[in-house]
Amino acid sequence: MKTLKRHLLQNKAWAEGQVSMDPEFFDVMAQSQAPEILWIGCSDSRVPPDEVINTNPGNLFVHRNIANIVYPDDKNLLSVIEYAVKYLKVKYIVVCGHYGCGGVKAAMDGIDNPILSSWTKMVADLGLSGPKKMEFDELVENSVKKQVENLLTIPSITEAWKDSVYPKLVGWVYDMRTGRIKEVSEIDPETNL
Amino acid sequence: MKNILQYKKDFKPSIVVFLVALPLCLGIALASGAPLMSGILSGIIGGLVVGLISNSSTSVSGPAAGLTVIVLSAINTLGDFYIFTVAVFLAGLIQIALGFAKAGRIGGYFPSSVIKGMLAAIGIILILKQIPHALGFDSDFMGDEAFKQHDGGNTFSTLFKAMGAFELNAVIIALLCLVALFFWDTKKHSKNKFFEYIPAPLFVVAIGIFLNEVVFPNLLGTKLDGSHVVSLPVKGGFTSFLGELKFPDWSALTNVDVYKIAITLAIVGSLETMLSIEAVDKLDPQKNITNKDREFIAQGVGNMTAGLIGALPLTSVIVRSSANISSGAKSKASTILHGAWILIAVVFMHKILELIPLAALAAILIHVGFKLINPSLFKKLLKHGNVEFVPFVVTIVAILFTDLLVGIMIGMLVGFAFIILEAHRKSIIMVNEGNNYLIRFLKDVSFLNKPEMSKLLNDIPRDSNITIDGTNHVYVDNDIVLIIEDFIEAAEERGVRIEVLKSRTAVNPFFKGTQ
Repeated sequence: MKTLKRHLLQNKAWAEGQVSMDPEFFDVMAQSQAPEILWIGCSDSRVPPDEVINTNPGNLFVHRNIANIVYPDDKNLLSVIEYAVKYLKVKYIVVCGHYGCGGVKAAMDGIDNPILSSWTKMVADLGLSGPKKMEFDELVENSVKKQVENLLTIPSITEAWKDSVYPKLVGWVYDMRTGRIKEVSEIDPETNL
Repeated sequence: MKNILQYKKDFKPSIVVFLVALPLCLGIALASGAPLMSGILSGIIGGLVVGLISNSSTSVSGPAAGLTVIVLSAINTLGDFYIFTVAVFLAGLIQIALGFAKAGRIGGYFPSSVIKGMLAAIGIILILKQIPHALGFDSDFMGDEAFKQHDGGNTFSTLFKAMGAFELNAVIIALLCLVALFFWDTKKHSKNKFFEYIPAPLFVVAIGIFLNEVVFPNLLGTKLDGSHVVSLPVKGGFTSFLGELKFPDWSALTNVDVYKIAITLAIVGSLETMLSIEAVDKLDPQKNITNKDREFIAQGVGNMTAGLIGALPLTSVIVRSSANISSGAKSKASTILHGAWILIAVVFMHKILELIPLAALAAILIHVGFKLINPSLFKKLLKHGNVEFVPFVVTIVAILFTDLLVGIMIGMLVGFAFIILEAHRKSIIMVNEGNNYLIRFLKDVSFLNKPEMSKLLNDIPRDSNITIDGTNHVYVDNDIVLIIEDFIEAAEERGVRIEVLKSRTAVNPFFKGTQ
């Protein structure tokens, strides 16, 4: 069977399975959403957010890009955060990177592709910022910390913090070799920066 | 044209099945306390009637060893064989009704490890029970499959008795026949016309007759006769054969016992047929899948015919079917022809048949037994793990020491127990980070996981935060929920805080809700 045909069948089986467990499942889903978490993750196929933290439809609001980078002028990401914070009122924004990230690797080693190298420039600069060259894993962790800090420059977040302790900002690194997530940073309005 | 070609191709296996069936038809009739002719007639119907209607390409039907005990006591209860055949006729009617009610689906519920165990067990039994016949010790009937034998002994007691009371002539015939049969197997792919066209069992029967009629009288001055050779109930000829066909005594339709026996025969016969069909479909190298509802109808018509002309009740039978498959049958032409051969042989070849020493036939059956025990199967199942291997071995042992149906039942119980235990292993996962605990269900959990669940909860220290995640799509039995509820009730006392994660798609109402 062609891959996509099979996936459409899988979708049919999933939909029927959901209905057999809960006849009103899709009626409820269709009404509204109230996720608590905005997930900013990498596009990598091996880091499926719903799987690794066992969440269900309705639990996660998701933005993914290569190497989970936060550019404060990225209109795509800005609109996602704006909607998640102002309208969905998410309690947490999680930036989740992962060891073995191809985007970070490309930034570290350089890549002969203008589109990709311009996207990963922030991580490349970070890698060169210290007194000595960072190891791969170290750069992955530091990049996640850096992206969480970048969130502090985004107006919808600083505005929300004026009268709420939410959203809390969290940095995680997923390890594909063990399936475990390591916490690398956590920032909320009370954090002393 | 294609059909005629098929009959030509299946000629050889049909001869093999005929030679295997002949002693079994007679032996089973003897053990059932029925006229010997009723076994022969049943064999003919199994080929010509059931064979034509069934859509199984390799199953062979005929009188069944598994029914002898029922038939024997039924004839005693009813007092006359031709009252009993009324019950056989009615059993056929019930089977047809079952076929239209699509009862064939029950055939799908036998675990394959149990079916494989049954085949191996029948192979072992065949060998153990035929060795006495090969040694010329013919106290039990040929084709007995139960541990407690018709002759009062059991499988092993008769085996030991036979060791001490063998007939030299029989031993020589059996040994030479076995050598010939196994030699034939090595010539399977030989282009030699002799091995290609002559069925080994036919050659073996010829050796037996030649040794007993020519060699032994001249060389040893003795020969096997009486109970050591085939003995037929008819004197040959067509009119004598027709005289053996007897209608049932319809006046017995008012007898309640007849109906009880008909129901028993229909149920037990159908079960044995389903087991045999499952086994046959497994053995068939062409991997044909038999339509089981159609099989019910074929068996039903067969049994109605049997009742009408005074034959034993019949089922699909494993030994004859497996002989059919291992000698290369490709279509039902083989089973149909075997019925025709029984008919022709009894009517026209009566004299020759009565020359066949039972030791030669025993050698053929022992050879069939070896084919059924497949050592590579043991290794393969061992690799699949205990869930398959244990029920397989238990089925073999249970059938060996009881009988087919009881053994299958024991094997199935053990099979179910193992599947349930396996399905409940590693079902609950608990992880913690400091004093934060998470419990999640990976698979279905039921009362069998109660001890595990209690232990996990009780081992959590004071001052812990516990999350019980019920959002996965697994079946959580109420027994487990009760433990959780009790634990929640006592949470304050224990100094723990518990939260339960719910989902709309959870199975147990306890976990149903929004997260």
